[in-house]
Amino acid sequence: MEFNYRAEDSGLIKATISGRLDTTNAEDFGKLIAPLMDGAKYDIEFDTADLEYISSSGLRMMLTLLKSVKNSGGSLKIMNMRPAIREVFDMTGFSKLFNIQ
Amino acid sequence: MELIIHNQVSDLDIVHQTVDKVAAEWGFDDMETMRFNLVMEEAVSNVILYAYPRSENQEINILMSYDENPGTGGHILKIVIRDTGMEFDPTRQSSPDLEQSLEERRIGGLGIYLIKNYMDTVTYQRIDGFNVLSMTKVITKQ
Repeated sequence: MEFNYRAEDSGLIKATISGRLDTTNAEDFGKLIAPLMDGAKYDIEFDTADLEYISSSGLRMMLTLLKSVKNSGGSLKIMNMRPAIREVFDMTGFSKLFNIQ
Repeated sequence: MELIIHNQVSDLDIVHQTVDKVAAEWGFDDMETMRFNLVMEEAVSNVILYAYPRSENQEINILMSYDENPGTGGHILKIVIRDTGMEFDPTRQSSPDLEQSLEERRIGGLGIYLIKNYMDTVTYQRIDGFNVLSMTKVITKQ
């Protein structure tokens, strides 16, 4: 799993993730997204085109991020989700919670 | 196919590598392989994280088979996971409420929920000090 983000001039945060987000690295992912959960308002575009796999540990982290971003008045948009990831989001009802483009 | 791992999170990498390998041998497509990996990770990580609160280096035994299913056609994927940890029946965990709003949404129970959705049968037994979780799914190729 690799996760990166950068702020555009407009303030928009563009984030990308690649590989697998699972039980072995969900905690690492939690540390990487921690700066985006510091209470400030962030508008995030999260490109998941290269995310190949997600398990419930990864879903929990995604939910934690979404809750934090929303509580701070920001927004989280998920872009380019693969069908395999979409299926897991659909099955768990996460598709209804997230803004998936 | 039998795989023995220990109760450490890093051993999930061995599980994934093994699943990828046998799924390729059995001719699974990408989606079936993803589902197979997901079911295995959810079931095995439960054991790794909770079955042995105070001891390391405990064995977890995993059996995987994919045989012809003469009755209804197709093949039957069978997974059996055995451990000697604390007695725990994951099938009795309550399912998450998928209609809950973001604020209400709790984060537990997702793993077993995914397993139950992907597999046709999920049964737990406590046999001679072993937790035995058996799962089957009939897979019919188009």
